[in-house]
Amino acid sequence: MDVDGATGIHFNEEIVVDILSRLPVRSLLRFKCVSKIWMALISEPYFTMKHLKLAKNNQNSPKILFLKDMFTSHLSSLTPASLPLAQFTENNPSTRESTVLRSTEFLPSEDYICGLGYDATSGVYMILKIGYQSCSEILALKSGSWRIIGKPTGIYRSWLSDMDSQAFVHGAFHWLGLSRDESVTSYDISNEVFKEITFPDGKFVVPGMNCVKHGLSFKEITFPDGKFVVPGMNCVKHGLLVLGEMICICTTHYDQWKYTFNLWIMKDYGIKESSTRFFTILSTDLYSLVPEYRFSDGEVLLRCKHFDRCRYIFKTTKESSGFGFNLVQNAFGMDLFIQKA
Amino acid sequence: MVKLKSNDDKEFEVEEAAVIQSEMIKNMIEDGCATSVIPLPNIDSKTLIKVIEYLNKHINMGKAAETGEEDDLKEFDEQFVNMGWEELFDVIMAANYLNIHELMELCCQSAADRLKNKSVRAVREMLKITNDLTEEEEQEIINDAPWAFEGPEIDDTVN
Repeated sequence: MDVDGATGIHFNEEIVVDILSRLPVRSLLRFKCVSKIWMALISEPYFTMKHLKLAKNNQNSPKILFLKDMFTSHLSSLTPASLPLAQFTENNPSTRESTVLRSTEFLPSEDYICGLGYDATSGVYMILKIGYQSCSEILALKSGSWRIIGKPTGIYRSWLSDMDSQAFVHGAFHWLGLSRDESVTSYDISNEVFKEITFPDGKFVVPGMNCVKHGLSFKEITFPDGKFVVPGMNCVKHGLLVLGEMICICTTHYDQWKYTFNLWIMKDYGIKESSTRFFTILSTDLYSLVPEYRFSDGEVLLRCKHFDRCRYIFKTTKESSGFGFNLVQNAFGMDLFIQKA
Repeated sequence: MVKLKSNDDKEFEVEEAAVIQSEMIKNMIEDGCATSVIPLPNIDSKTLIKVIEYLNKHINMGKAAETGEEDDLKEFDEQFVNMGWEELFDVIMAANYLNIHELMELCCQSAADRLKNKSVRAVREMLKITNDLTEEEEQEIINDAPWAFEGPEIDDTVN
């Protein structure tokens, strides 16, 4: 090897990518400054996927990488359900092919959310379209056509909100259903069955609510001189998400200018008794708080919205230990790199 | 035994069981192309000696797990990558050329560990990369994530 600098070190791109993909996000962001080639390599979507794959395989890796589409923010990170999906366009990130899917055929247009899941038995990706009121439809990406799967018995309606409200884990889609009790509805894609997963009674129900609409409930507030229903003054939002394979329910409760955020975690899948309240956070300056990722030490990363700032801020549950989170977006606002410092 | 020849014309004999960890040579043997000396025009003798040392130690990887030699192997790996930059890069290129997956993993991880906390200037110098970004472009990248450029752990030394 010539060390006087006349010839330099000539690695092919493949080797450089191999080495770089092992680096934490913080280093990568810095090394974009090394040269034009490095900047291009690090910004490549292929690189992002390779980096993500390595980080996923490494259980101890403290780094996570979000692939998010601004328009479908319900699809969050690190599960098959997180593959970017926009307007029924399927993107296969490993081959970078994309196909525009047929639009839904049966159901009237109403509000819905979509989830992407993977059936390990048949090796097929499925898209589930969950309507607020009516049945759900499923699309197997292999067949390319939609089919109605009906609705679970006993569930009056799906309870979807602008928070993350569906998750794919343990071979099934999960979302919040509204029946006599609030419960999680699951749809197992291999066996094509609906199930209901209950949390201990009243766990995420807020007493006194009498109106539920799109996951937002309003409470009657009694004033001395009469009764007013003040929408938005006192409301509850529910979200369903998955942290480290565990189903979680998060709620945001707003009352008297104070926000209360709760997170329940069901430790053992489907076992009602295993669910516990993980945290309750009170805040006057945050108005949105969504758990995003659970680190191997049990700490949870939170995506928050602050009244004074327009961008998301990230915090961990152990704030006192000092959090070193930050957020970076590329020019298209698509990729968010987060690293635990 | 398989004979390998470095680009400075030195010949080395390696046991077949060791050398087939190289996908490239394994394919050559299977195709019957390894009957005489295999010339390796990209690898000098100093690097080849390192690679052979690794191959000999890693024969029968599966057995190591059974006999509890895993720790021994781990210690060997740690010692093995304890080499200078240029040497490490020579081994990486040789491992890439010979297609020795495990060795590639080991050395690339070591390279990444060494680069992790380096400053931009140090990386450029270590890898002999000429900066072709304009000052404005550089500033833009820094402004995107100033936190990635600050911190006591950032190491400006070149080693």
